[in-house]
Formats: sequence, C-alpha cells, structure tokens
Amino acid sequence: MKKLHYERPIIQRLNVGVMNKFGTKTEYAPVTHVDGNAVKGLLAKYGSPLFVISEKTIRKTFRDANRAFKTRYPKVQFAWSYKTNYVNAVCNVFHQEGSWAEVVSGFEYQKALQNGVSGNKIIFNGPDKSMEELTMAIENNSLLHIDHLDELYMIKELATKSKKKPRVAIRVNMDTGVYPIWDRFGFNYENGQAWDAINKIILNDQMELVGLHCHIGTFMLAPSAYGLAASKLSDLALSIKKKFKKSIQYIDMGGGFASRNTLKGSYLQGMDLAPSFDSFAEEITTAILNAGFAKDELPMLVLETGRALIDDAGFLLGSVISNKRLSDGRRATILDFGVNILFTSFWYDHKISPAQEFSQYSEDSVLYGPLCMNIDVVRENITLPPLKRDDQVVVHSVGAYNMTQWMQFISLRPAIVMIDKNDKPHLIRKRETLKSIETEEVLPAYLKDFKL
Amino acid sequence: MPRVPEIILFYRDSIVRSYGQIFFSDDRGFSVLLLAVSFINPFAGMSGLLAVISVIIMAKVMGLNPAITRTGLYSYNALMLGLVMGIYFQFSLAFFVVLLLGNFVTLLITVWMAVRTSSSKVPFLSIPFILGVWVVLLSSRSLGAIQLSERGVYELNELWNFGGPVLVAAYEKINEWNVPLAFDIYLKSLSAIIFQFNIIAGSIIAIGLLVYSRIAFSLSLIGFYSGYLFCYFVQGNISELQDSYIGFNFILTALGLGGFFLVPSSKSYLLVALSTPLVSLLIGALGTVLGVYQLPLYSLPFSLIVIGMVFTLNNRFEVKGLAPVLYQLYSPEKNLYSFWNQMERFKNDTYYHIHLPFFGEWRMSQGHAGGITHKGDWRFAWDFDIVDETGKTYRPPGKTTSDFYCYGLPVLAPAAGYVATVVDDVDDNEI
Ligand SMILES: Cc1ncc(COP(=O)(O)O)c(C=O)c1O
Repeated sequence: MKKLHYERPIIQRLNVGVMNKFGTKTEYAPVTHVDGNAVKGLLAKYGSPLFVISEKTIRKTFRDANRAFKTRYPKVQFAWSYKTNYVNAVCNVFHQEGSWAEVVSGFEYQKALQNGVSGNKIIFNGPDKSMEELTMAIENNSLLHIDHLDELYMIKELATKSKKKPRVAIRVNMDTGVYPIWDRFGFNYENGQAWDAINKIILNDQMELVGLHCHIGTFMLAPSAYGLAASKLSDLALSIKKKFKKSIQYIDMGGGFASRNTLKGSYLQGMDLAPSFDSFAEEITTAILNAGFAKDELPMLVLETGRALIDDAGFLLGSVISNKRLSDGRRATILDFGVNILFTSFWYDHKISPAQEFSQYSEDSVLYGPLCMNIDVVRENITLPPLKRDDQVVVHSVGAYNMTQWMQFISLRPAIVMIDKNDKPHLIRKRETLKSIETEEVLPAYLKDFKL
Repeated sequence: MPRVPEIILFYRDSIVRSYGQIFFSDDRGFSVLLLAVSFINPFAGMSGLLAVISVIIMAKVMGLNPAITRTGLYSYNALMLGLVMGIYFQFSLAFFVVLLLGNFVTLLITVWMAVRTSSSKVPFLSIPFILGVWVVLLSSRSLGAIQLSERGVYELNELWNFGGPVLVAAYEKINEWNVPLAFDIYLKSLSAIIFQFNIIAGSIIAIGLLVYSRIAFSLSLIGFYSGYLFCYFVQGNISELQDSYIGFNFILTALGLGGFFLVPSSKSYLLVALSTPLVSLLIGALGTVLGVYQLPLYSLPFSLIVIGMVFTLNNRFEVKGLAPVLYQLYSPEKNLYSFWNQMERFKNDTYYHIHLPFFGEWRMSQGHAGGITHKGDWRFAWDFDIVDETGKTYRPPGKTTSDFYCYGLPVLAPAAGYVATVVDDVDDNEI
C-alpha cells in the first residue's frame, strides 16, 4: 500500500457569514505535471529549483497573437523583445515562428546576430547605444530607433563616414490617457519634439526615415490607449507624406500588452482582467486602417510584444525548506527560491500551486525565499494547504523578465528546461556552478595567501 | 464583281489554311506559297492536295463544325500524311484507296484529340499524323498492291522525264551552289517540314517566312542553330541531321513555343534555345526505340516537347514572365502587338482582380457545389472560417459567437466599387 501523505493538523476558525464572491479554494488545486512531465521527476533530474518552459504554450500563444493581428491587417510583423527572455532556445522558437528581433543593447544585438537573425531584421531600441554599436548596426542595415537628439547627431556623424545610409525610426512618446507617461524615452508628440526630429532627419538626407515607433508602457490593461497611440503615429506618417511626399514603411507599436498575471493590489485576478490579443489588435488596426492611408501605402505594423507572449509558458518549480510560526501567529513557509530568481514577485502576486495532492484543509501563510534578507518575500499572503519540508510547488506565468533579471545573489541560478511539443524535456541552460561565477574574476597575486 | 459562292470560299479557305497550320500561320500569301512549294516534288504535292480535299469533304459529310474545318485544324494532319505517302509509294489505284483510308483514320484521331484537349488548353500538334502514318506504314508491309516508290533512286532520270534537259541543267547548276553545310542543312530541314528535302524549296520557304513574319523567321534560325550547336557540342547526330533533315523538329519547336503559344519576348527566345536540346535528346531516344519497328519519327519529338511545355506553363500557379497567348491571332507579330495593346490598355487588369474579402489566413469550409448548402442558386458560393493549429474554429468554451475566431473580424470589399445597399439589421445566429 502507498504510504499516506502526512499532513500536519491545523486549527481553523469556523467562518460563519455570507459567502464571498471569489470562493476560496481556487488557487491550490494541485499541479502535479507540466506538459506531461511529473514535477517530482523533473526536480529529481535537474535539481530544485528549476525553470520550465513549455514550447507548446509559446507557439500556441504566438499563433493566437499573430492570428488576431493578421486577420485584421494586411502587413504584420512581430519582433521578439529580447530583454523579456533571451535564453537562445526561447528566442529561436520565436524566430522559427517568424519573429524578427528587438534588442536594447549591444549585447542583445550580438545575441540576435549569433542566433542567425539577419541584420536588416533586427530592431535596435533603447537610449544607450555606443558609437561602436551604432557603427555595427549601420553596417548590418539594422533598424535604428532613435531615442534622443544626441543619438541622432551620433548617427548623422557616422552616416557621413559610412557608405551605407542608416535606416532609422524615431521613438515617439505621447499622452494616451495612461499615466505616468513614459516620456523619458523618445521624442514627445504633443509638444512637437517628434515632428522636429522627423524634419531634422528627412532634411538632412543622410539617413533614411523608415519607421515610427512607440512603446507606451508595459502591462497595459487599456486597449484604447493603443488605439490613440496608433492614430497619433498614423497622423505623423501622413504629415510626412504630405510635406515630403515620402511614405513611412512601418509603424512599430512596441510591446506592453498585459499578461495574465495578477498585479499586486489588484482587486480582480489577472486571468479575468487581461484584455485578449483580439481587443488590442482591434484597437490598433482600426486606428491605422481608418487613418486615411492610400490603399497601397499602408505601413507595415510591427509589434514588440514581450511578456504577453512568454509569461504563461514559464513555470518555476521549487521545494519547501521549512515551516515556522511568526511572532504574530501567522504561518510562514520558506521555499528554496526567492526574489533572487523570481524577480517579478516584487510586482505580481504569482499564482502558486502545490505539486501533490492534499486534503481539503487550507491555511493562510506567508511565502519566503531562502535569502538572508528581509526583502525576500515571494507572497505576502496566500492560502495553501499545509506544506511540509520537501513538498513541492509550481509557480505559474513566470516566463517574462525572470530569466533575464534574475540575480546571482547568495545562491546560484537554477537550470532551465524546455519541454518540446512531444513532451520531451531538453536542458536549455545548465545550473550555475561556482566556476561559472568565477570565470570573470581576477585575483591579484599578492592576495592569494593569508594566514588565519 | 460577281459574288463567289460561299461553298467555293469554304473549300478555298479550308485547303489553303491547312498548309499554313503546319507553320502556325494563317497568312494567306504564305499558305499559298507553301502549297506551291509542295509541288516542287509533284508527287508529294498532288498526293497532299488530294488528301486535304478528301478530308475536308469527309468532315463536311460527317457533319463536323464547318467553322473549325475552315481553319484547317481538322485537315493539316491529313495533309502531312498525303505528302509523305506521295513520296514513299508508287501511285496506283490501291495507293489512292489506302490514302483515303489513312486520311480517314487521321481525321478520327484528330477530332478525338481536338475535343479531348480543348478543355485543357493543350495542343495536339501532329500526333494524329504520326499515328496515321504508322498505321499506313505498318499495314502496307502486308499489302502486296502497295509498292514503295523507286523515285529518288534515279533522280536525274525522273527530272529528265519530267522537265527535259532544261530542268536537269538547272538542277546541276543548283547543286554547284556553294552553300555552307550548316546553312544547307537549315534550308533542307525547313523544306522537310512539307516533305521536300531540297534547298530550292527551303530557300523559297525561308524568304516566305521572312516576309510573313520576321519573328517567325528569326525563331526558325535560333531554334535550328541552338539544336544544331547542341548536337555539335555533345558530338551527337549531326550526320543524322544531314541525312534525314530531322532537324526540322527544332524549327517547329521554335515557331510553336517562341511566338505562337507564348507571346514573343526575350524569355520566349531563351526558352526556345533551351528546348531544342531537349528535342535533340528525344530524337535520339525515340529513334532508338522506334528503329526496332522501323517506324519513322517525323515530328514526334517536336510534338511531345511542345505539348509538355505548354501543358506545364498553362498549369503555373503564378504566371510570371512567359505570357501565354490568350487569344490566338496565328501570327507572332499580331500576338505580340495584341499583348502590348492589352498591357497598355488594361495594365494589371488583364484579368479583373478580385481579392478574398478578409485579411490573414482563413479556411474555405465549403466551396463550389459544396453539397451541404451550396446547391442550386447557391452553388457558386464559398464559405470561410478560421481554424487554429488543432483544427478548432473557436477558443474554449465555444459557447458564444464571440468565442469563434472569425467573429467580429473585418470584412473587405473584394474590389473597388460603390455601395449599393446597406443591410445592417440581421441578428447574429446564436450558437
Ligand atoms: C521598446 C520596448 N519594446 C518592447 C518591450 C516589451 O514589452 P512587454 O514585455 O511589456 O510586451 C519593451 C519593454 O519594456 C520595450 O521597452
């Protein structure tokens, strides 16, 4: 007979009163498998904690998004936002699905080239591009999205030296009714900076203005803001057409679509709140189609969607280290992962499920990470069945930003496994070792020896 | 001027055009010239003319479409059969009976092929002639009354009998012409198309071709010499070209592909230059096989290559370059001018472009005469929906219209037009 699972007894206050509308037991239905692989087996093989990425989910989500736009607009191009998750295996799944690359640093730029994306399909964003990086991007015919006037002048200087005519776009920021405005990036629409920059570029004639770009924010819950942004960019494009008789090749709407995670302090669950790809697509494409472009001069629509495409495909599996009772009587559970590798727990209330069957009892508790730092809180308050040491948990929707913003702080970073469409796991990043941390360190000879 | 009775005009056109058909032409002057040249070998000429007339009568008696008969389409294969038989057999009563029977067989095959190929827009070229001539040749071996002609063996004797010393002297004079070998073979091959095999006939036809169509003439040269060069290059059957004039296949291929089935262009010329080596390979291959049965090739290689090319080009998914001739004007120049004219007048609208009424990838769930609801008045309807990777048309739970992928998507006008009526009060059907 199988050994029964031990569950420590709990004392629960009997709640009498009206039922609340959210129910109680939604969150802790056990999740024992990810894409057909047992959590227990994965952790035994690759160690705990462990990031798991579902290739099936990536492809399905991408196709949903692609379909939402392509069935509403004739020319659509996604560009994978590298900073969201630049593990090569993940990038290449997106490239296989037809995505270009969107990068914001020289390092990401090189990664995209190395993955085999041709230079003219790399969009180079961000405020920090060095002379060397700009030169490389110009030689490769990449799309340079200019963030500020200083960058514009740098490109102008390089253009006089290069045989190639740099292909540029400007990043435009604007009021879309969502605050704060991200006006630290790019040129403002309302105060005329953007129009001024456009004039500088076209009149100068050493660069080719091929596109207009905006990225109005991240985790946007209001599709209408995108409609406004798209019509403002279209206005700019049409003004360019009117003044310079020149058609803009593309309008890049950036990223920012909300994923299905729950923001801290949100009353509703993210699952119920996040607008669908269809509603974003409807707003954006309607705005561009109605802007007044001639039929054969409709610009290509570029999207740099990040989190909404990858969040759901990522899972973090981990184990319970210990349980304790806090001074105020609350339960606390310590897990073997914390904010060091689950960076997004700073702003999300991540959904966390136990990975084994439990009885119907549950208890409120705090989830802590393993770091010796007070900030290491994974969930301030969660209702879970009573967990004990070595029980396992699954954190959902962790695909975006964690595998790029994680810190090697106190402990080493875990392995990443991708489960392919036949449910076969592949190791795509090895667990770090002392050596991987120390390869770049240099110890001066005089510090080698010491006596204690 | 007295009116010529319609029946005479019918016979005149049907006869003359049969000659032009062989060269893909309906030019009256050129056709008459060909008719005249066919009499340079009088036996061939007579037998050929007889064949044409008899087949036209057969077609008329059998009630075939006179409009088609009048284009020469039904009779040019029989004409070729007549020309060949005139050369190879001695004239006798039995000969004429067999000629008529052979013509009849050829006509049957022609009509059958014409009907079968019309919907697929493929030509049948000289296939009926080849099948007809094989029937005659194979059967004549067991017919004692049919004798192979000995003409050609005692060429000078015959010329003497026919035209006396003047003709013989002229013949000798011509033989003294110092025509370079390559050109000599070209002219003889050209004449071989109407079964003549001599440079006088070849020269007259070449001049006629030049006058009738500069494009056709240049094609004949390019076709012939690209084939010739290929033979030279692969050290192939040059001597065969010399002895049997089988190189006329190159010329016919050039005329057919370069300016008749395709609008003449630099690309069609290039296609000609690339096709003649194929013809050359086919000559070798078919010659080997048919040699076993002692059957001649005639224009079989040309027919097969041109049919194959036209079939393939007609079945292109996207027509880029090499424009097909949509309405046949029976002259490379006219086909070209009409094409230019069309391009000028209609630009991209040679066909009326209509687009599918949506963006992105949709699935046609029921097509023409779909059998579910596309019947009767609705038989030409198309139904569209959207499916995901798993083949589903909706996202779960699929209980409301908005769960369906195609719900609420933009519908486009398939072409520019005016709004005639607006109907916007039809309720959605609930699931
Ligand atoms: C320029 C740009 N494009 C795309 C993205 C991706 O955004 P998200 O992950 O919110 O879709 C970002 C992220 O901030 C960005 O700055």
